[in-house]
Amino acid sequence: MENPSLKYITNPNFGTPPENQNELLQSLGKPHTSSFNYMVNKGLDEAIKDLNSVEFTLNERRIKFSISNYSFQKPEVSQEMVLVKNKTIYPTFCRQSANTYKGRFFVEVDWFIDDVQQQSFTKDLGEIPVMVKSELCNLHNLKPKELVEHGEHEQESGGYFIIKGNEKLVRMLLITRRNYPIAIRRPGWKQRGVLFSDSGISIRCVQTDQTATTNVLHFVTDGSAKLMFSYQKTLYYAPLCLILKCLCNYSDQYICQKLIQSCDDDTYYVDCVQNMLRSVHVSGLHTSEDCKNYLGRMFRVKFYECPEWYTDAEIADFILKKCVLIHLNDNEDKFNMLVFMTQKLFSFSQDKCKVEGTDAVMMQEILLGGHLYLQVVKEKLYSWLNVLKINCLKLAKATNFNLSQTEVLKAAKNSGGIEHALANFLATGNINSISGLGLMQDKGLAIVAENINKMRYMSHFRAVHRGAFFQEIRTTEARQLLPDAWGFICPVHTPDGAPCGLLNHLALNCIITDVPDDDKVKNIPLILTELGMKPLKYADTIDLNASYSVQLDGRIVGYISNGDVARIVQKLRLFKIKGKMVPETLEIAWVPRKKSICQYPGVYLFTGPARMMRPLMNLYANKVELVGTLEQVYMDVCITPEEAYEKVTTHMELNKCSFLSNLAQLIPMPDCNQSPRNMYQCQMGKQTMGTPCHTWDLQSETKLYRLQTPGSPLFRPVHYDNILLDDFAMGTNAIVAVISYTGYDMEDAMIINKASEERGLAHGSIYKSEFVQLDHPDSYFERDQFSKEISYLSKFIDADGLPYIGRKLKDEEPLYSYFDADKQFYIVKRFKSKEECYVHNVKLCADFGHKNPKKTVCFTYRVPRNPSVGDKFASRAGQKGICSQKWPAEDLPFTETGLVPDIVFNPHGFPSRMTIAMMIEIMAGKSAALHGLVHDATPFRFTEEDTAIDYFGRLLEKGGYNYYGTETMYSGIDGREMSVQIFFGVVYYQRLRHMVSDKWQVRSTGPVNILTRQPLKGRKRGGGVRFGEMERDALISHGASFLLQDRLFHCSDETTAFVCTSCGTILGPITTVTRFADKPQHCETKETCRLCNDDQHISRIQIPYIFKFFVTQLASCNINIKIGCRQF
Amino acid sequence: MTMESPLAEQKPRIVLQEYKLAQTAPIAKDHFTVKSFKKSFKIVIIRNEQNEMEFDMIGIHPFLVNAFRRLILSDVPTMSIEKVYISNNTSVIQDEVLAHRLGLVPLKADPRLFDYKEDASAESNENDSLEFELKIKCTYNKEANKKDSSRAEDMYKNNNVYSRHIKWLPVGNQKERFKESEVGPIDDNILLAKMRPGHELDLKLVAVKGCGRDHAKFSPVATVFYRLLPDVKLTRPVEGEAALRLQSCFSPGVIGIRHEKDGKRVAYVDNARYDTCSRNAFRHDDIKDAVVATKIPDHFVFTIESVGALRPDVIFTEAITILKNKCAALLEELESTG
Repeated sequence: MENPSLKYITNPNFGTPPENQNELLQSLGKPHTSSFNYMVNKGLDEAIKDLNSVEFTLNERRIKFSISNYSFQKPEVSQEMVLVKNKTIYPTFCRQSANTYKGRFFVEVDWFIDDVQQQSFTKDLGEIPVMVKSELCNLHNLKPKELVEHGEHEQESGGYFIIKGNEKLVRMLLITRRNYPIAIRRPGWKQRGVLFSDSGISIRCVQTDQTATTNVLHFVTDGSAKLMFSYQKTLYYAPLCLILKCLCNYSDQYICQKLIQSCDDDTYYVDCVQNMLRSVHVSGLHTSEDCKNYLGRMFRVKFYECPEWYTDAEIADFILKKCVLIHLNDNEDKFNMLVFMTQKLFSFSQDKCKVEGTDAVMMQEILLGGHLYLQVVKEKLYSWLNVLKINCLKLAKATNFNLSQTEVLKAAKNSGGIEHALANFLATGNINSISGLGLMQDKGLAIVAENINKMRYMSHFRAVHRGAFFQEIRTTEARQLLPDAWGFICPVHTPDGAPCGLLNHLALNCIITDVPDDDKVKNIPLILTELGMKPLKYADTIDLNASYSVQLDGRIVGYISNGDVARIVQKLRLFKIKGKMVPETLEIAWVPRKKSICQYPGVYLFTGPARMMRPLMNLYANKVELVGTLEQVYMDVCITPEEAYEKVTTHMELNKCSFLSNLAQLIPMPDCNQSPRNMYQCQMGKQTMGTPCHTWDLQSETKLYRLQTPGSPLFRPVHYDNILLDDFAMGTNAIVAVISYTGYDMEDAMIINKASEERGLAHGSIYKSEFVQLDHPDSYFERDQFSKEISYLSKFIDADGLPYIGRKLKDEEPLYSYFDADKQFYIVKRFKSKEECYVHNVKLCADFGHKNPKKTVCFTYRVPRNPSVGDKFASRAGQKGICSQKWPAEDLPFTETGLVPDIVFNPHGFPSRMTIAMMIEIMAGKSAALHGLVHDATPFRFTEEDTAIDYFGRLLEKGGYNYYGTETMYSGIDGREMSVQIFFGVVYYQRLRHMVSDKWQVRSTGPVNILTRQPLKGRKRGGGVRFGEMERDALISHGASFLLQDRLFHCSDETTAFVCTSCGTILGPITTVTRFADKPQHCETKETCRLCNDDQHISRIQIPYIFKFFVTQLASCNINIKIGCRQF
Repeated sequence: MTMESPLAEQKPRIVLQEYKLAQTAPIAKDHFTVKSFKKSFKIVIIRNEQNEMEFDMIGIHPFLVNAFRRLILSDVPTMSIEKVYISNNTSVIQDEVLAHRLGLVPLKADPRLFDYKEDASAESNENDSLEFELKIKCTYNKEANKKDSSRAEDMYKNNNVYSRHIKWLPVGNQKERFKESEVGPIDDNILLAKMRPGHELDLKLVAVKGCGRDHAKFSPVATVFYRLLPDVKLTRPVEGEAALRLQSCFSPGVIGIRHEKDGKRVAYVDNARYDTCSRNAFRHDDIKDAVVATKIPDHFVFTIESVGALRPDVIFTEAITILKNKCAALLEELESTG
C-alpha cells in the first residue's frame, strides 16, 4: 500500500475474515513456530540420536539404556475420558480454563544386557507444552475463517505456549554467533591460570541438534596456547598441541608445518609452535596414543557418565566428541579448525588483527524458543534415563531380581516423566540444568505475552534481550548501539532505565533464519570448487599467503587465491539470490585483507539457523537478497538510488524506514521529533488502553483494558494499514486547542471537556477475571434451597450458586455459594473489592485429565472506567499528561465556527520537548477532517524544500482556515474575543492504562506493623505513604515543627510510657493491677519502679513506640539508657 | 491612504493585524444602563429554520451575549433517558455502555410540559417522566435465500437496533396529553446496537427532565456560538492576478471580481459577513497593505443549532426566561438580606 487510506475500515465487508492471513502479522510468530517445527520434524530425532545412553553394571552384568525413538502427539483429551465427543483440544479452551496446552510425549527405550538387545518398550513421559500454531498445534494451517470458528482471531500468529492459561513466550536472547572463532580480549581471562593473557579466540560450537558449547583458545604469555573446554559448567584447560595430537595421528613435523603455513615469516610464532610441540614430548607423551591415554586418564574422574569399563582412549574420544569443536564430526576437520584458530590467535596476540568482541550485532545470533525447548527436552530425557537406572538399582536391592522385561517395566513405571519439568520451565522461565545448556543465565528465559493492547502484544514477539547477565554489570558496552546493528535492531525502540539497550526490538524487515535445506548446503563446497576454490587436500599446491581460507559453518572447506576471491564471492551471491542450488539464507561474509590492521581475513559462509538477516536490493542482480549481520559490515548500501556510487555501492535499502521496528514505524513522522520523544512513544504505545482482543467472552485474563469508543487516526504511517491496526484501534481523534487556559493545565496537565467526556470521549472499562476452585472434589456450586435467608440470597445468587450475569456487584455482597463436601454444609462467599463492577460472565472450567476434578469456576467482572481527574493521556509524540479537570463545555473557549475543544493542551509542552510531529499532526488532522482524507505520516516523505507544514498549511488555506493552523477564539467565561490566535486542530489521543482508581491511596489511621507499631506501607493493605528523611528535612528547614510532630509522632507510633525520674529508665516502671474482691469490675493500677523500688518518681510521658523498642533491644545486650528528666 | 480613512466615520472597530488585535478607539467604558441599552439594542433575524437559527444582536455587551450562550448550553432543560431497566440483554454491547448510548438519544418531548424530578430516587409520575420500552429480538430471515446474499441485512431480521425501535409507554394521563407523534426519539435512524440471531434486548427506559449542567445529554443544542461581525475594506484597488489571489485568501463570497471594460479584473468587497477571518492575506506581501479586516465589537452573529427537542427560537426565549428568573432570584436574595 503506497498511502494510508480508510479503504480497509470503510469496506462493507469489514469484519468478515479474509481468505488468507496477513503476512506481516504472521511474521511475528514465525521465528518461534519455525524453530518449534524444526524441533518436531528434525531436532528431536537428532537430539535422541546424540543422547548419551546410560550404562551401568548390575549383578555383574552390563546394562545399557538408550532412547531409540519418540512420538509427540497433538493436544488431545486423554483416552480415559470416555464421554468426550470431540477429543481435540484447542488453545482457547486452555486459555479460558487456565489449563496448559500440551501434547502427550512417548519414548521408545532400547535396552541391552551385556550388549545383547532386549525387547524395547514404550514409555509415556506425560504431556508437554505445545506451541500454538506450530505443526503440532490443532490450529496449524487453519484459514482465518476456521480460526475464528475455533475461538481465535483471524490473524492469530501463534509462537507462544499456554501454561496454566497464561500465554508464555520463550524470550529471544542475543547470543554469540555460532561456529565462528571470535577474537576477544577479556581482562577476566588473566585469572584463568598462570601466565594466561587476556587474549583468546572463542568459538561457540553448535551441533545440528542445537546443543551448544564454547571453546576458547587462550594465549598464554609464555608463547603457548591452551584450549578451554567445559563439561557440566566446569571449565578445563588443555595444551593446544596435546589436543591436536589426540585428534589426529600426525607427525610433529606435519603438525608444525600445518600450524606455520602461511605464517612462516613470523619467526616468533614459528618458535612458539616448536616450543609447544616440544613441551608435549617433555611430559613424556610422544605418540597420539600416549596423548589420548593421558587425556583419558586425567579426566576419567570428571566424566563419571562413562562406564568404568571404558578405556582411557575411549574416554579421550568421548571428550573430543562432546567437548571440543562439537559442531564438527570429523577429527580432521577439528584439527584444521584448531590450526586456523591458532593462527588467528597468534596474529591477534601480536596485534596484527583487530579485536572482535561479542557485543557487536555482527557477532551475534538469536536463541530461539524451539531450540531452547529442544535442549531442555534433551536434558530432561537424559535425566529421566538416569532415574530409570536408579530405579533399576533400587529394585535390584530387593530379592531375586533377574533383569526380566517385567522388572524393567516396573522400574520404568515409577520413573515419572518430563511433563512437570517442562511446564515448570515455561511457567517460571528457569532452567535447572546440569550442563547449563551453554547459556549465561538460567532465569528469566520465558516471559508472559501480556495483551494490554495489540502494540504491546506484538512487541513481545519481536523483542530480543542481551541477557540477564549484562543487566548487572556496570559497563555500558553491551548497551551501546553499534553501527552494524543498522537494519537489524531498532535504534528507537528500547526502554528507558535499567533495561536500556539490553532489551531491544528487531527491525521490521529483519528475519531469523530457519534450518536450511541439507542438500543445498552440501552443494556449496562443490559449487565453490567449480568456481575455483582449491579444496583442502590441494592446499599444499597454492600459496597460502596470498589466499583466503573458506569456512562453511565453522568447517574449513578450502582456499581461494586473492585474485579470484571477488569473482567467486560475486558468483556465489548470484547463486544465493536464485536460491535453487544454495540456500537463500546463506551468509557470505568476505573479510578482505587490508594494508591496515583489520578484522582477521577470510571468507566465512553461514547457513545455520537463528541468524538475523534482512532483505536488501542487490543492485547488480536487481533482485532482493537476504543479508546477514557479518555480511552487511563489508557491503556498501545506499538508501536511495541518488546516493549510490558507481562500482562501489552494491546494495540498496528496500524502504527508507526499514531500520525501524514494528512499533517505531507506527509513530507519526518520527523524523520531526526530538529523538528521545520517539523512544518515549514506543513505551507509551505499549501502555495504551485499546482493543486487546475481540473474543471478550472467551477470555479469562486477570486484567484486560478496553477502550469503548476508539477511532481510526486521521494522520498515520502506511505501516498502520499494513498491519491492519484498525482491527485493534486504540485511541480517539480529539479536538485539541493549544492554549494556556484555566491554570489547571500546568506541568503537562491537560483539561478534558466535560461534555465530551459525557458523550463518550475515551470511555473505557477493565475486564477482571478470577478463578475459584473448591477444595474438595465432591464439593459443588449450589444455592441452599432451604436456607433461612433464601429470599435475601436469591437477590444475588442464582439456584446454581453463581451470581447473575450483568449484576452490579458491591463490596461484601454475596458472590457465590457452594456445598462443602468436607464440612457438609453450604457456604456463601462474598465479593471483596472497593470498586463496583458488573458480572460479565461466569465460566465453569473443565479439566482435561481428571475424571473427578475439583470444581473450578472463572468469574469475569467488568469495571467501568470512564475518564476521571487523574487519569493519564498521551498523544502519539511522547507527550503524556494527566487530566486535571473535567471542565464544563460552556466555560471552555470556542472558535468562530462554534467548535469547543475536547482537550486543552498547554503550549509550554512544546518548546522543551520539540515534538514538531505533534504540531504537524494538529494541522494534518484538521485538514484531514476538513477534506475527508487520511494523511500519510510515514517518515522521510517530506524534505526541507517541501515541508509538511507547508503542505498541510496550504490544505488548510484551501478550506478557509488560517495557513498556520490557528483560529480566533472567544473566551467561554467572559465572552470576549481573545487577542491571540489559538493553534487548534485534531490529534489522535491515547488513553494510558494508568488510572487513579488503581492508584489512589489515602489513610488517616489504619493497620500498623506489629513489631514497630508504625503504619504499614502498601495500597492494598490500607497503608500510608512514606514520609521519609527528605520530607522530614523539608519540614525542618521550614520550621514547621508542629506538622513534623504530627506526621512523625501523632500519626505514627505515639505511645504512652512511664519513666522513673530518679533512675531515668523507662524499663524500670512496672504496673501492678489490684482487683478488689467486692468490686470485681473495678481495679486499681499503680506504677512502681523495679529498679528503685519506689513509686514516688514515676511520670507519664509520650514517646514513639520505636524508642521503647530500641531501649528494650539495647537492654538485651546489657546497655541501659538513662533519660534525663526535668520538671517544668 | 491611512488606516483611519475607511473606518473613521464608524464606531470603534477591532482591527485584525498580522499577529494581534488592535482597536481603533478604546471601547468606551460606559456603564450599562437599561435606557441606553433599550435605545441601541437591535436583533436582526437572518435565518430561522427547523433546527438552526442565525440572528444578529447589535449594540450589546459580550458578557450578555455570552450569558445567553452559556444558559442555552447548560440551563435550558430537555428530556433525556436517565434510567434504563435491563430485563434482558444478550447482545454483545455491555449493559452500561448501551444505557449510556440510550441516554444520548435526543427525545422529542416539550420539556416545558414536565416538572423536574424532585428526588432522583423518587417514584416517577406522569408529570415528571416519560417511559419507553425497547424489546427486540434478532432472528434468521427465513425468506432470504442463503445463496442470494451474505450481507447481514439480508440474512437476519433486526440485526441492527435503531432508535425507531424505542416504543413510548404512556403513563397516567399522558395518552390524552400527548399525541403519539409528539413523543419519541427525534431521529429514527440512530444505530443503538448490532445483534445476531439469538440476541435479544428487553429494556424499560425512563426519561426525565434535566439540564446540560448535569449531563451533556440534556443540552438542547448541538452547539451554540457567536462571533463578531467581520468587515473587510480595500484601501487601494487590487488588480489582475493579485485580485484572484486576494479572493482566495478569504472565504467564498467575500471578495468579488469585477471585469472592467478595459479587460482588467479588479477585486471588490462583496459580502464580508461570512468571512472566517483567517488572515491569510497577510501572507502575501504585495496585497497585505491593501486589506483592512476589522470586526465590529458590539455586533454579534449568534447561531443556535438545536438538537430538535425545541425550536431554536424557543430555546433562546427559554434562555431569556431563565436569565430573568435568575435575576429576580438574585434581587430577592439581595433584598431579603438587606
